[in-house]
Amino acid sequence: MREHQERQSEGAEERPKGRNIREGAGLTEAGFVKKFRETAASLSPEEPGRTEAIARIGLEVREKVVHRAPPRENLLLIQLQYISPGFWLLQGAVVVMLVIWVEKTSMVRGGLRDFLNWTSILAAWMGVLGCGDMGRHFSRGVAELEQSCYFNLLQLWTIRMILSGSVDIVVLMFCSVRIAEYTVMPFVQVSLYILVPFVLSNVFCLLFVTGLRGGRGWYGQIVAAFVTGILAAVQTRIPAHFYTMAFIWVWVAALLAGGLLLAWQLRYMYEKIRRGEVLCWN
Amino acid sequence: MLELTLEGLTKKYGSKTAVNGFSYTMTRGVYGLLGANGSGKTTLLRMICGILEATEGTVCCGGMEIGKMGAEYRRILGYLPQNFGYYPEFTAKRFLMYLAALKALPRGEAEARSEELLGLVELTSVKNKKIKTFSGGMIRRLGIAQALLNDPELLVLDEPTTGLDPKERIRFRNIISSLSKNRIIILSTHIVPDVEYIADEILLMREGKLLAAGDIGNMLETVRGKVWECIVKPEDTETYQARFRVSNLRNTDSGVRLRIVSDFCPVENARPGDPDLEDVYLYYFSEAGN
Repeated sequence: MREHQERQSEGAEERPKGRNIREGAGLTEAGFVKKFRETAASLSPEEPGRTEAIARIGLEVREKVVHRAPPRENLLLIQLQYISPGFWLLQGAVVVMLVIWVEKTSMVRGGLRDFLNWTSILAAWMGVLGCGDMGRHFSRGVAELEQSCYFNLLQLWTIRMILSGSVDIVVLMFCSVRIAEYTVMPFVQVSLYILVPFVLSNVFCLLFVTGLRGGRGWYGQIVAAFVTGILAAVQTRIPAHFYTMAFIWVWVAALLAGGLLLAWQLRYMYEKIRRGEVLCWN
Repeated sequence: MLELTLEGLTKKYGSKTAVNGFSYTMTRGVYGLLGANGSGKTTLLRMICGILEATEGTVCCGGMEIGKMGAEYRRILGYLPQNFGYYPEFTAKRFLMYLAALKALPRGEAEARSEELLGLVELTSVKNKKIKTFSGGMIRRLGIAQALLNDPELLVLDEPTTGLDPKERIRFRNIISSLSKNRIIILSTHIVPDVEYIADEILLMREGKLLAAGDIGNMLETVRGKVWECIVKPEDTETYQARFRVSNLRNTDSGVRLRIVSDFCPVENARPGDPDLEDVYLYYFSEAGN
C-alpha cells in the first residue's frame, strides 16, 4: 500500500497539472488519450478499497428505485379513458344537432341567417360544454389531489383543452364549409360568424367557472348554457347589413378581442393553479 | 437517504400569516404534526406537497428544491388532502385506476396495486360501487388507499382519521406503522392518540410557528413534574377548571379526581403524575382556565 502511495506521489510530481498536460507535452488529442490510458493501466487500485467501493455502489444501486419516464401521450389516453361519458354524450348530441340543422336548412334553401340561427347557439353551447367540464375538477374538490400527482392538473387542463377545443373547431369548420357551399359565401366569412359565439361563450364560461364557486357544478353549466344561448340568439337578430363584407371588420375585431381575452384568462388561471391559490377553493 | 428540509417556510394571505418561518429537517420515520384547528398545518402540508407556493422559504428533497424537481418529486409523493375530493359517479376501483394513471403507474401494476390497497382498507367488497354511495369512513379509507398507490417515499396525510370509527383508527395506525420503514410519513392531526403510538417525532405547531419538536420521550420530559393528580370537593371543581389546565376530571366516592397540568403544585394534597402526550398538548396549547 505504501508502495502504491509512493508511486502515486512520484507520478504526481512528474506530471504537469490540468490542461497543461497536453500543451506541455505537445500531444495531439489521440496522443493524449493514448498516454492517459497507458498511465491509467499502470495504476493498480487498492484491492480492499476497490471491493468496498463496489459493494457500496451495488448497495446504492439495489436500493435505488428505477423509474421509467412515461410518455406524455399517456396523458391523452388518460383523458380519453376517464372523461365522463356524460360529456361525450352531450358533445355528441350537440354535434348531431348541428349537422341535422345545417342539412335541414340546406334542404329548404335557407339563407345565411337561417343557417346561423341555431348554428350560433349550438357553437356557444359547445364552448360551454368544453369549459364547464374543466370546472368539474374544482366543483368536486379533486383539483388539489390531481395537482399532487405525476401528471398534474395543469397538464390535464392543457390536454383537455387541446382535445375538446380541436374537436369543436373541426366540427365548426365542417359546418362552415357546408354553409359556405349552400350560401355561396366565402368560407372565412362564414367561419367568422360561427367562431365568434364559440370563442365568446368560452370566455364567458371560463369567467363563470373561475370567478364563481357556484359556476363549477352542473347547475352552473346550465346557467352558462342558458345565458350564452340567449346571447348567441340575440347575435343572429342583429340587422342584416352586419353580415355583409362592409362590416367584416366588426367580426374580426370581436374574434380577436375574444381570443385575446381567452388567452389572458387561461394564462391567469394557469398562474393561479401553479401558485396553488385556486386549489384551496375546495 | 431521503431527507426533506424545510427552510424558513412562510405563507402569507394578505396581512394574515398562516405559516411563519417554519424550519425543520426530516429523515425516515413518522412525524406527527400536532396543532389546533387554524394553526397552519394544512397550509404547511400543501407547501410540502408543492401544491401551494410559499411566500418565503424553501422545501428541499435530498438537497434539491422541490419546484425544480417537478414531476420527479410528485412521483415519490403520496398525499391525502384534508378535504379529500373524488368523482362521485366513479366506482372505488375506477377512481383508484384513474389516480394510478395520473401517478404514471403502468396499467398492470396499477391493477394489482389497486386490488391490494382495496383489500388493505377493506373496500374490496364495494370496489364496483359508486363512491357517492359510500359513508364518510369509507371515503376516508379510499383516500388512504389512493395515497399509497405509488408506494410513496414521502407520504403526507392531512387529518387522515377524520370520520373513522375507533376500530378503523386502530387499523389505520397499524397500516401507517407497518409503512414507516424507509420513508417519510407526515401525519397532521389535532387528535393526540392518532400520533401518540406511531410517531417517531412530534412537531407542535401554533399560529403558524413550530413551537416544539422532538421524539415523544423528550416531549414528555418537557412536562415531567408539571402533571398533578388530586382529589377535590365537587363544589370546588369549577374554580380549579378556571384556574388550571385540567386534562381529566372524574367523579369518585371520595370527591372529584382532577388531573392538572401546571408549572406549580395546584393544591396541597396533589401528587405528581406520569405525563402523556395529551398533557404535553394541553401544556403547549391551552391557556390556563380554557
